[in-house]
Amino acid sequence: MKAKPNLESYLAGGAAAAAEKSAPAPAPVPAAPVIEQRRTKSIRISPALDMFLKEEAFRRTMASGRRVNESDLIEEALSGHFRESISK
Amino acid sequence: MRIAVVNTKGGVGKTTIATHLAAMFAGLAPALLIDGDPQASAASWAAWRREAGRDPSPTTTCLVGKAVYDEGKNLAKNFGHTVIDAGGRDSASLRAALLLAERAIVPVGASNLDAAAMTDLLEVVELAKDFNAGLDVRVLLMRIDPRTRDTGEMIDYLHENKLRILDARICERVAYRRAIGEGATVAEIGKDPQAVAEMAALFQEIQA
Repeated sequence: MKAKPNLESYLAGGAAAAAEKSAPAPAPVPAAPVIEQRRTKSIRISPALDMFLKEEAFRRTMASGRRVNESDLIEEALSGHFRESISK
Repeated sequence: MRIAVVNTKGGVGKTTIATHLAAMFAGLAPALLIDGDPQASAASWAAWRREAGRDPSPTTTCLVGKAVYDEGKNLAKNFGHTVIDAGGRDSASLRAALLLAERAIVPVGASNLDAAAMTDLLEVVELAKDFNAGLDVRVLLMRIDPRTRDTGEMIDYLHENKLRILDARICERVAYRRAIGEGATVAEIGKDPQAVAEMAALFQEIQA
């Protein structure tokens, strides 16, 4: 005869839940970084670039679990482009 | 109706289906969308939707672990429809979602990897039925490519495992990714009539 199911053990039984339980304590949260001043800039770009930006922002948001917006991507790309000038 | 959109495999389109169903249900009656995934993708969609001022919107909340069932069952009483996005792994959230739901929609891609990953899920579903005997499980074929044999092989696999397959099919389309990123549904964006028709057919079948 099938044993009476136990709800608590069912809910606690997920493989992922077991991994969560054995996970080490989280490291202390580092001090908040100093937020650089930002300036708003309106620019015009091609529809194709606009779509790439949207899709990449969405893809990275989904992959990282935190919001990545189009400004982040533009900043990253321009920082790379002007790296030498910035470091001088 | 309480619907859980579940799979232990990630990246199969659970959030796409959950958010679309929740938005479509919200057009009929107050709807609740429970995001039970730690990545909170459905919650991100809801935030983008709010920013864009789209309406009607489901009330969206993030619940984790047993709270999906404990809190979810009380919250659901205040709504005509509840959709739960749970997933990506065999977690307490996924298990709790299977207790809360009357119907489980399992989106799967047509590939051997998807078939292999279903073994885990089938085991959890069987366990859930010990507590939720009326749970109605339906498989939704996602990202199908009619040009390959994979879909036919997956259907055979599902039949062998006595799983019920929804007639509706969701193909791989850019329109879905774009709609989610805009906090919208494909019908609201309105650029891909085939995507709109696919989602409408799914919604109709689920309501039947």
